Amino acid sequence: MKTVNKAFPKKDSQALVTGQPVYTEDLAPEGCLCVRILRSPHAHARIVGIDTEKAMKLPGVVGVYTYRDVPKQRFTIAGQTYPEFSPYDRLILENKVRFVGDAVAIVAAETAEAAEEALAAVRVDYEVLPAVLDAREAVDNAVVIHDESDWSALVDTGGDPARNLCTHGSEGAGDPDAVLASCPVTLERTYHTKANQQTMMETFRTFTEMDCYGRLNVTSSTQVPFHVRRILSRALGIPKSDIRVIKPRIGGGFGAKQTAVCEMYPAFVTLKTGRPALLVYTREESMIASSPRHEMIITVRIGAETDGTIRAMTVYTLSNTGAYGDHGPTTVGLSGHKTISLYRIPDFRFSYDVVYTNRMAAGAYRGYGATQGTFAVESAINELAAQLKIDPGRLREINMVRQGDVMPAYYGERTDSCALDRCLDRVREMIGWHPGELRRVMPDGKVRGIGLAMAMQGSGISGVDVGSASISLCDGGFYMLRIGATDMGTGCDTILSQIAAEALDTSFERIAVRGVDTDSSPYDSGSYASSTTYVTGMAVVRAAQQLREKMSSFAAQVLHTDAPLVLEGDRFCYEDGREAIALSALADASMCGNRVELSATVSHSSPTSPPPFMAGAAEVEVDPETGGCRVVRYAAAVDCGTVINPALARVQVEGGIVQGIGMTLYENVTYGSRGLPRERSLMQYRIPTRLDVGEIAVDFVSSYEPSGPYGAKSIGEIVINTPAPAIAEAICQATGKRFRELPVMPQHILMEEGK
Amino acid sequence: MMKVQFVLNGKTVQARIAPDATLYRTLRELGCKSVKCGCETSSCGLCTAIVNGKPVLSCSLLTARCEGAVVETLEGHRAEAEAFGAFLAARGADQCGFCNPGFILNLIAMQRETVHPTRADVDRYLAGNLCRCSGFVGQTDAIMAYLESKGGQA
Amino acid sequence: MVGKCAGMEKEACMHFRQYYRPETLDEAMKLAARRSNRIIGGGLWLRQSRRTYGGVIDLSALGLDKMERTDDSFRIGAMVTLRQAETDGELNRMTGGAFSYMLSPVVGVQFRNLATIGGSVWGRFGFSDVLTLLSVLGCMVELASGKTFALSDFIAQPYDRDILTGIRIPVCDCRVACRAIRNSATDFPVLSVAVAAAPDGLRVAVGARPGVAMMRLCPESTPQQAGQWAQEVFPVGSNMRASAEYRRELVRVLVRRASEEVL
Repeated sequence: MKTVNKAFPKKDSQALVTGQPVYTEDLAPEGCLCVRILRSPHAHARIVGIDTEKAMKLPGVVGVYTYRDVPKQRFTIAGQTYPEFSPYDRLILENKVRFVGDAVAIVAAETAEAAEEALAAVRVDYEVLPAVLDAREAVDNAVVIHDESDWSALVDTGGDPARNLCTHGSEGAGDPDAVLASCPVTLERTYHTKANQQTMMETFRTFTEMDCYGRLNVTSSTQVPFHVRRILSRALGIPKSDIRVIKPRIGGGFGAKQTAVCEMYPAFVTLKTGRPALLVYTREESMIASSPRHEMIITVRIGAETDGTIRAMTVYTLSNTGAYGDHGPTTVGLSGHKTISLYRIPDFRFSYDVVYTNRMAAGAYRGYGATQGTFAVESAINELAAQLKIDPGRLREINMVRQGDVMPAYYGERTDSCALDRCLDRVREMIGWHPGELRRVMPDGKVRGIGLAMAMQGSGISGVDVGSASISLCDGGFYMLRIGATDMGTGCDTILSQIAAEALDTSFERIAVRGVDTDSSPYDSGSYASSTTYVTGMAVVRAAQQLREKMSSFAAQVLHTDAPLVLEGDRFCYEDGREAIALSALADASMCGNRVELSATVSHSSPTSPPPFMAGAAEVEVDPETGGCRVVRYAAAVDCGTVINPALARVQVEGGIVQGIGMTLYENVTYGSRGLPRERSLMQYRIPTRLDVGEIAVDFVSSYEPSGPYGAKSIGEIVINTPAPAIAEAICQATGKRFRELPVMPQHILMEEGK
Repeated sequence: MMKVQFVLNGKTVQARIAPDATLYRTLRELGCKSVKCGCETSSCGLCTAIVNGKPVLSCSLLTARCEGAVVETLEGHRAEAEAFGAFLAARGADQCGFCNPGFILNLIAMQRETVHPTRADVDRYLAGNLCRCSGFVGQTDAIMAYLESKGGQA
Repeated sequence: MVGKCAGMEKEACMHFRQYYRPETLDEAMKLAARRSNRIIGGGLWLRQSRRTYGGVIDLSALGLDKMERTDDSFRIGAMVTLRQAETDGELNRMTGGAFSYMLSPVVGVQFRNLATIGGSVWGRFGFSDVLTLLSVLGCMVELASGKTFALSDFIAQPYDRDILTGIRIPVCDCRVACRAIRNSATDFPVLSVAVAAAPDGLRVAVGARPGVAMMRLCPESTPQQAGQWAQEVFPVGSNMRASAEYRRELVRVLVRRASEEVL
């Protein structure tokens, strides 16, 4: 292969490293109205009075909007394919607020200072309602968070708002209860993962303006421009044809921007005023009114033989979706589907409740439920190994999924590409795994421990995600690649160009690519669910094939020949190798007296979602006198199928592991008794710095996925799943204390017996 | 409003500013869009500028205090940004790019203070530049490769 | 130019109408006497204050950014940055690298190039690593009014309208050692400890209790005993970063460890 599996620098790298003005705020036109949101100080309240008169009279204030001004049609801001699984449970503004930080009013002003003054001048009278903050107390609580009559769900996921239930369900195979009862060894444990903030460096931001056609143009830092178009259409009550969404360079997403967190506010202002409007979330807003990871409380039961054969497993997940159901019904599924399926288990049950509480609504964060589930199931497997006195690596060897297996808990899909066994071997080699020698005392008294975990994810949402690519032969023989997938820094513009170059037998440099514009890019569900390389990548391959055929027959037409022609780089050749026509000449010919468009557009969707697999191993060093804990080494062996760009894939792994380390050791969103989030800044919500990161070793152990582009699967999400269970296990090896609740902080390690 | 004059990337500039304007705001108003903002708590390093030879958080420095100062942003270091950026991009660690200007500018400042830095020196000096994409390893690899290439030339 | 509505800039920011940069201490004191004015040191976290002031007094033109060594003391001007103190050869030689140890984890180089010693001392913040260290160095605080205080007395003083001009650390050949525990590398400390084996005995200071740093003379003679003693003597509490129970354990361990280095 010429361009696939090569570490090309990203196509936009020079702009990014020289600080060019390519992000949303940099591009906002002069004279934008400054948009600000007045937010609720109460976790649950009804607005009984709201007075905007004084604010409106302030100099420079252009508009102050309340629930009285907005359309009355409920919607979801979850960026999902229609019909969304997430319930239609919110309005732009409402006379009820459901978490501290919920929007109460929108202010638009000529300057930031005026907007700020206006915020302070709006008078709101609240009838404060009792709040439900604990997910375990949500179901059938006397306090009903969504008591509106027009709550609706396009897809029935067992939700019942009167019971604070967003989703409820159960699935399985065989009779796990009976099998568990007959197993000589059983284990039941409950694990608790917390809300985490994606903490992308660029906070949520959008600017909007009317164009010369009278259409609303929305430039937004989003992962889902086409979904944003649809969501805004419903939220604002205007036709989809009146909206254009542009995605420039974006400063990180990690799933946060798979939710249309802020687009509706400036869009509403522009519709009302006709003027351009800019909203940039402060870090504080990004911390208190955003789309963090769902808190989950997961109970795992395992039944096994004394030789380590696992015969049954049940997983029950209680997921906290917060005040609104964005991504609630869907994230929970991954906590079971992508964990039980790691093992050959004939009898299993996965059941779940997703509940509303008066916390900020959760959303999509890298791993999307699989991360939470992996902490639970992989920790339980480690505990089972301890109970059976079997090496945790060996226990996995006995039970793990292997190539060709059908995975009943994963929609009955068969894995045609699974190198998990080789990943496990490789990662043990990398970390220096010797059964029975997973703890060592260092000369300075500190204690080291080694822990292991495995993970899987998906590659797109099977039968749902659509990726499209359009490739044209252009002047002089270069190719224009148009995609609707959203590069959020991860490099999909580059990766898809590499795939196009490979498929067109041309050089990487000959492929031009650009960001997403819903007016001119072909439809794509967006970049989430680890779909871009696998789904959109395949659309690129197929578009390139179609274009080759078109070019070939056009070349034959131009040359008046019936002889077969072969595309070889920048020219078509006869079968004997002689040049038939240069691509540049073919492009020229296509622009003179021609009726054949040398362009192909293909939409692709996959009936399956082939899982990437990974094994991760952590070595931690604990100070037994202070509980101080450091991840000194992390080893990762990843099967993402063919690696399209080794440099970009490796950074995905390194970045995901470091986020996972943060999640395990300190990242947490906590609330005071009245529902006020405590971590409101980067000073309080600490993410890892470069001093917190030990050695990270990454290796790729590739299978070949026949349904993916050149054998590729996905990489974006799986990388965050192993750190939590591997590190918790390593801490257990070092200290003998088992932690089942995240994060595990020095004070827990020193003071607690493990819980 | 008040007037302030300082040297920005080698050119003397005058700006009319609010007395409480931060240097971050003034720099963006003067067209230095490479300077970004990621927090309100002096925590992230995105807004790094070099003032009188020292890297500082421009969000936490009053423009008024910069009267007569020499201020540098990445706009004034394009050649070095490109040269180092090639190493960063080759390693895939440029990623979303939002933290790159502040981080690269601090790297430039580090080289003025530190001769032959080790990986540990780099980690200590750049600890105030947060990045959520890269996991930092690739950034440091790129820095070491870049410094080595420069050393090789000298 | 988007300056007019620069996105995040104005949300949480201290506002004021006048900027003063006095060139004499007299002028500065006159300005400081006005209730509507406030002094800024390094200017850190000015975006976190939502208050509006009449004017801000910038001390950066008063020549307070110098460190001077005399025969018997080290004078650190109020506007000396944390970074200056962290990297100063003499100061670190005298304290066995304690300034470098305590200051280098503070956020980042860019932060420490702005944050000042004066601001840290004036603020009397509980989390301050500087205060913990200065507490064992016999440090005196000098004010524009001519008043001087021992650091521990200054910490107990209410905030007033005086101006801190500098601190003075007596030169001594005492051995100094510090310890701090953080949940992540550049976070505020969960607890910080400094000890100094001085002519008057073993000085022990504990900061981030989470209350402001406290110093006591330790009557014990072994590190083990010093740790036990400290656990009894220093009151600790809970905050977001750790519980009182955990801090109590840390006091014993960190004081013992630091003492092992100096005794």
